Amino acid sequence: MSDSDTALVARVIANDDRGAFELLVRRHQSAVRNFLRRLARNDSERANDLAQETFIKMYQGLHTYRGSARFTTWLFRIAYHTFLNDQRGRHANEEFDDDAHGSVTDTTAHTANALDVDRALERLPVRQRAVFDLHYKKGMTHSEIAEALELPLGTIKSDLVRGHEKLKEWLTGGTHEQIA
Amino acid sequence: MNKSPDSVEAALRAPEPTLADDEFSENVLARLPPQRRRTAARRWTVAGSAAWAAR
Repeated sequence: MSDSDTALVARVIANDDRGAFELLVRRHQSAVRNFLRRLARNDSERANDLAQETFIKMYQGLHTYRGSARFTTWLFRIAYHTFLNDQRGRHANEEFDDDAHGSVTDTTAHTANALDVDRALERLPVRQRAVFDLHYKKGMTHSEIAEALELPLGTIKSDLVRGHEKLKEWLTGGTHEQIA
Repeated sequence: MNKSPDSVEAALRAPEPTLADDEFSENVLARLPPQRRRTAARRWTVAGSAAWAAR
């Protein structure tokens, strides 16, 4: 497709061009649905519902997109907040919910060897899941992730380090070397 | 089996599945508000201008 995201956005804003909007949805639906599936711990039905909501919010908020950030950075910000809003309605505290999946020690003791990387990622807190997905699957830089999630750059870097330490413990037997 | 750091890194960087289908985009489009009608807006502008000029 030759039209840039910015050009398509301009067409939607100027003429309410539904064809341009559909192109944006088709172009980005896979990345957004995968991102939300990661956050929703592989609940694809919930992820698809939230992805639809994300694109509706994108449509409603297109006039606020200034083009200073990459379009995808702005889009993932909407997706992340859509997930968090939904999560607040389901659980008062996501981190508490994460605890129910077992601590690092519990996991290491019982099932570490059986976990694959995706299952291990599901055990990370939601913010770290978002950071890992945007970094490894979407190829975003630390700065872009910080902008997308509206978090300090240092938080993104420490989430990656701590997440790596946890994955290392769960998957390789507990050393604290950096994976990357 | 324990995974080596290299295999963990490779798994993290593995491409994700493509999740794309017509049904998804059709569902999103169906949830949008009715499309703005540019011709109606233009008529209103012309009528509005005429009314303004006739004042």
